[in-house]
Amino acid sequence: MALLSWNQFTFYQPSVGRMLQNSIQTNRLSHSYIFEGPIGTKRIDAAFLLAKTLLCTQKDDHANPCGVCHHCTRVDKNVHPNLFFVQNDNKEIRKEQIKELLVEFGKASIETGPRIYIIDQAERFNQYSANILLKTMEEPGVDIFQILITTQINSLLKTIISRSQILHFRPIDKCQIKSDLEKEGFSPLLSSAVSEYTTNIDMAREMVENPLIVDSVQLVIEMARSLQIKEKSIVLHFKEKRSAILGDMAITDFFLTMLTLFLKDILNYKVRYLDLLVFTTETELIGKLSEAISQKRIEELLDKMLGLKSRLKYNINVALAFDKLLAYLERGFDHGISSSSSSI
Amino acid sequence: MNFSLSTNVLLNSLLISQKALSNKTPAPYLQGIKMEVTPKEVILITSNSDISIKLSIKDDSLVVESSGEILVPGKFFVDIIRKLEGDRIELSVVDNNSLRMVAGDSDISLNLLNVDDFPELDFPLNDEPIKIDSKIMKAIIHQTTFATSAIENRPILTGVNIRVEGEKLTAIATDSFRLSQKMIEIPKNMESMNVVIPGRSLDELGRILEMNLDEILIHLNHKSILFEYGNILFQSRLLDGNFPETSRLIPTEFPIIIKFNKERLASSIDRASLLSSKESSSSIVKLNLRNDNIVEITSNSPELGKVTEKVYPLEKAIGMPIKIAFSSKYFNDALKTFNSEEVYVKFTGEIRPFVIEGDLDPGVIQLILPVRTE
Repeated sequence: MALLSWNQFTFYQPSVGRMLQNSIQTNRLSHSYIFEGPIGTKRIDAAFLLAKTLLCTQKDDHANPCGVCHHCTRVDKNVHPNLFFVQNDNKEIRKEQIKELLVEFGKASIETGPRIYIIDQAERFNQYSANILLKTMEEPGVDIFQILITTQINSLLKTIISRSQILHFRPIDKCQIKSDLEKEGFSPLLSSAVSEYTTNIDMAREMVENPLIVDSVQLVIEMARSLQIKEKSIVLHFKEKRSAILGDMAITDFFLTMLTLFLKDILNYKVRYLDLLVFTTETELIGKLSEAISQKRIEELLDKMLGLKSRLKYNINVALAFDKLLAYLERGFDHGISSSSSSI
Repeated sequence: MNFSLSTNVLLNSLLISQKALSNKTPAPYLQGIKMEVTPKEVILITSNSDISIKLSIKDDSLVVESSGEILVPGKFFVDIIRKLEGDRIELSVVDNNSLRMVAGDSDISLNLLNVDDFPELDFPLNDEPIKIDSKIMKAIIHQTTFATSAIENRPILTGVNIRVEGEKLTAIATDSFRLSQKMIEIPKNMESMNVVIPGRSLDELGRILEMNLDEILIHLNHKSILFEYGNILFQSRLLDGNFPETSRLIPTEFPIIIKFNKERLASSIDRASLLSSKESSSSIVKLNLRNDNIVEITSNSPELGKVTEKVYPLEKAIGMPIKIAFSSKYFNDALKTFNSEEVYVKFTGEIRPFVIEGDLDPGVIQLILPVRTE
């Protein structure tokens, strides 16, 4: 989803947004930028917004592109002849690609106006292509802007870094991701669960559309319910559903995180940090469960869960490990309930 | 959009337009031909980002029923029109997304590209263009573009430098080992200009100039050069950067001048280059003016053998004996550009650049740098 305005972008990256907007308004843009930050922090969207702003001929007073003119619509579709987007799917950036750019910028532009080139995954420069790029940076052309997008700024040449303005993109605030997802019509529960799991907004959007993710969240709640009702052991409950969840490492990890978050919710409820709850729709259930377990027990269980999370990446028997964890979990609540009943 | 016209007229126009069609550009929108239909004319616009052609069709056979703007996939469209039978073709847009062509017994629909994706190209015309005989323009192209650099390490050298100063227009091309210059007189005093046109664009222009019209108009501005040739506007992007100052490279005084028959000199050098140790493209031959006024062209490669060619100058050579070595390819490339049958080769020294000129080619200078041997 393309960004519409600098204001919208500022929600995601407050400092970078303000800085770029100011530079445009005061006409003090650098000819070379490095957008540095983790994946899913709107770096590419920001680069396209900057390109659109530079090319749009009908900007408003706050440097926002109009979004409807011929320039803007073509930037959105990435068919503008003055915009060059170098993308490399996890391959090295070859020197030919940079040479092509060089040849292109050796000529006058096709359409009047500035020219912008955006290089994604700039950490994938090899020695040759980086040096060719450096050569162009030493003598920047008129009205040519360069945006390098990278996750690892240290793998760029020092001489490239020193010639560029560096903008750090921070992980996006989880409230922002949550409200974004809710605006797109995903359930509040799912949005808040996923926003707790990742700060990568692109990944978050992919995740909420994955049925396995939806199932995992649902399963955590179902298991919590059966913990409360005590009709059936959660170990058995999990056994019925586990093949789908344990089949994919990413889903396994997500499921375990959700389980941990739910337990943390119980802890938070116990110590009355109600505004920190993730599973807000299940407050009642959380409340009941929190009475059935002691704080010390929760802490022990959380410890075990985090331990398993770090062991997941080793070659362990995941199904067995989960069974053991769930058995612990169940016993924890048994203990809590029995101790509370004995006190009556 | 709905119009009809003679198939031949459309085909001939398309054959010119397609010269600016690109097939390898990553941008699919440049693989299309933009058609603008107005009540009076049909305009075809193509661009491969380096050159753009705008061609207007105003033919008696043209009947426009409704106007419009579309972008058709270039290669398919040209191929279809080329193979159609029937004198007249009727074109109309169906459902806003396909072009229906009816001619003879054929009925073809071709899906359209999105016309909004096509760049906004302007073809700026000057009030006072430079007017040149199209034969002279062709000569300029023929005599200069071959000397442009083929490697793009220095992009500026892949172009031909056009300078307008007073009543002179000079075209210069060099790859830093040779230089080719053509100067012509232009009728009026023009504003001074100094631009560099990509050599490949000029080669394409040369192919379009086959139409045998008398004149070509040149509209120059700082960003582009536009050639107006009948109903064709041919625009090329300019190369950014400064072309090296070449006027001081060309020597003014020549102590040694030898006059040759062009054909005989060319074939001698050609033969001499046959036995050259290096690849044929960079084969070095030696020219030796002897005391007895005979010129020897030699090449020697120990593992292959050696060649000695004798060439007799047409007149007694002026100046002292000289031995000089140079690339046979550069020399023959330069010779080929002359219309004159007799050429002058002028030297200043054994390690100084030398110049070829001809009586029937006023304004042409071909300069070659010698090679240092031993």
